[in-house]
Formats: sequence, structure tokens, C-alpha cells
Amino acid sequence: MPKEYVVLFAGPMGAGKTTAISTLSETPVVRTEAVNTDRGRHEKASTTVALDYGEITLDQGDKVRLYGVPGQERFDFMWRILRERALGVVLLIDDASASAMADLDTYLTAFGDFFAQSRAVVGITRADVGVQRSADPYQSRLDERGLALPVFVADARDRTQMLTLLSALIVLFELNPPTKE
Amino acid sequence: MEIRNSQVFVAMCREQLRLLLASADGADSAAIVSGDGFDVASQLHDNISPSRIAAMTSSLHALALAASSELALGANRSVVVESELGTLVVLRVPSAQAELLLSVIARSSSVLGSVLFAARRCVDTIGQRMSGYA
Repeated sequence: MPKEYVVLFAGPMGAGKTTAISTLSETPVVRTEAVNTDRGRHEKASTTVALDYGEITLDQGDKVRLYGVPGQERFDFMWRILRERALGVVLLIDDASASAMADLDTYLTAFGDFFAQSRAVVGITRADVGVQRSADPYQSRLDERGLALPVFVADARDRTQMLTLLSALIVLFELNPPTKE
Repeated sequence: MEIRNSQVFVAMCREQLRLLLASADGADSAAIVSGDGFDVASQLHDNISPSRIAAMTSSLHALALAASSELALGANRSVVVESELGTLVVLRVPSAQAELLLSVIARSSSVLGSVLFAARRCVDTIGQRMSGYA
């Protein structure tokens, strides 16, 4: 019997959330982008201010609704709205950012429920031009916090790699069925 | 330089907001914010945070654009949030130069048409004057 899931893509500005959803979605992605006027924070031209939305059907027929949340903490009211609907989270961390490890801590706290209930995976993006260039330091940080969850180096533009992240999360859903309904 | 960092521009916006609140009966708070949700100028009640209203205005506007586009409704004119104790309207400042939004909060006793009329006049005025602050 095919199932339906709602999955969030979270992470700091520029980590590749919008790109990941565009890479995965089989329907035209609903985007809510505005011109980025905070060029000191990130050089990209536009930034998500409400949500991204896409859909994908997995091999076994399961349908996944993909929601991207804005990367800037100012939009944390959108985080709360979308967190209520989601079963799990794909956290993307930009390895090329100097604040990557601090960003990981921020999101491990902000989306703590998902991590505590083992319904989260972490993707380390831009590792090819990054600082750590490996998932190991991030995995260690999760270990320190007692979180035994998968951390992958992944390119948000690569469909196969994004599917690996998503599939790992779906497996976690099977292993950790939701306690809240 | 981003226009939101121009003190002269911000002062002009604040004056236009003051005129708006004076002309629209029941409107008691207003803000000009950047499309990506930063506070530019505001005349707000003490209990409203400029940064919160800026971020929410940006999200509401972006969601309205997405819905208008998805449903092929053409260009969005305004967003109206009508609640028990008041109304929030969001309009875009017509300008190709920078993406700015106006947010107006009015009490439930106000007439939506007159708030929208005053809000439209405010964004048109700011839009016309923007080119002088590039």
C-alpha cells in the first residue's frame, strides 16, 4: 500500500534547499523567492522567503511532498508552520561556509524533535569547495549529541545523491513510526 | 548601496507612512519592508516588532505571488488578511529599481476600501520618488 510523506528541507541560507527540491521534484516547484538584499550574508541573487514545494513518487509508489523552509532565522515562523506538517527533515549544511559547524548546532536545536525521534538525515553540500570536505566532523558532532543518524556528503544538483538522502530518511520512518498523530 | 540603507529614502518612506496613517481611518500601523523581509521604515504600535512584521510581510506577499501564478490570476495587486480584530493589507511598491512592500494594519472598524485606497496612494508615491535615491 503506497504511503504519503511530508518531508522538510532545512538548513542555512545557500545550503541548496531550493536546488535540492528542484532536483527531486517531478512537478513544477512552487517557489517563493525575493531579491536577496543581504549580500553580506550570502552572495546569491535570490532567497526563499516563505517555502518551496515539490512532489516526488518513489519506486515503491510512495509519494513524498517536499517542503523547503527559508534559511534565515527571521523566518522561523515559517519553520514552525511547516514543522507541524512534516514527518521528518533533510538538513542541508553548506560545507563551504565558515559557520557550517555552528549552523549544524543551530538546526539540531531548532529541529530537535525530528533528531530526537530519529527522523532526520544530514546532507553536507558544496564539500568539493568546502572546509571539511568530509562528512566525518559533522558525524562526530551528531555522535557527541547522542544522535545516531546518517550524514552524507551530497550535491544538491545531483538527483541520485538527493534520492539517497531521501531514501535514507524514508527507511528511518519505517524504523521509527511516528508517535504523534 | 541597497536603497533600504539610504537614510534620506527611509525618512521619505516614514513621512509617507505617517500621511497614510493620518488619511486612512482605522489604520494604526504601517511599514515599508524589503522583498526579502528586512525592515526599511515603520510606524508601528509598540507591541509590533518591526523585524517580525517585515519577515511576515515578505512571506505573505511571496505566497500570494505563488498562488496567483499557480492559478494564472495575473499580477498580484494586494494581499488582504481579514481577522476578527483587524486587517492586514500588503501591497508592492511599483518600481523596477528595488523590491519593496507596504504592510498596513487596520482595526476591524475600518473600511477596507479606504485602507486599500490610502495604501495604493502611498506605494504609488514612494514608487514615483524612488528613482531619486538610486
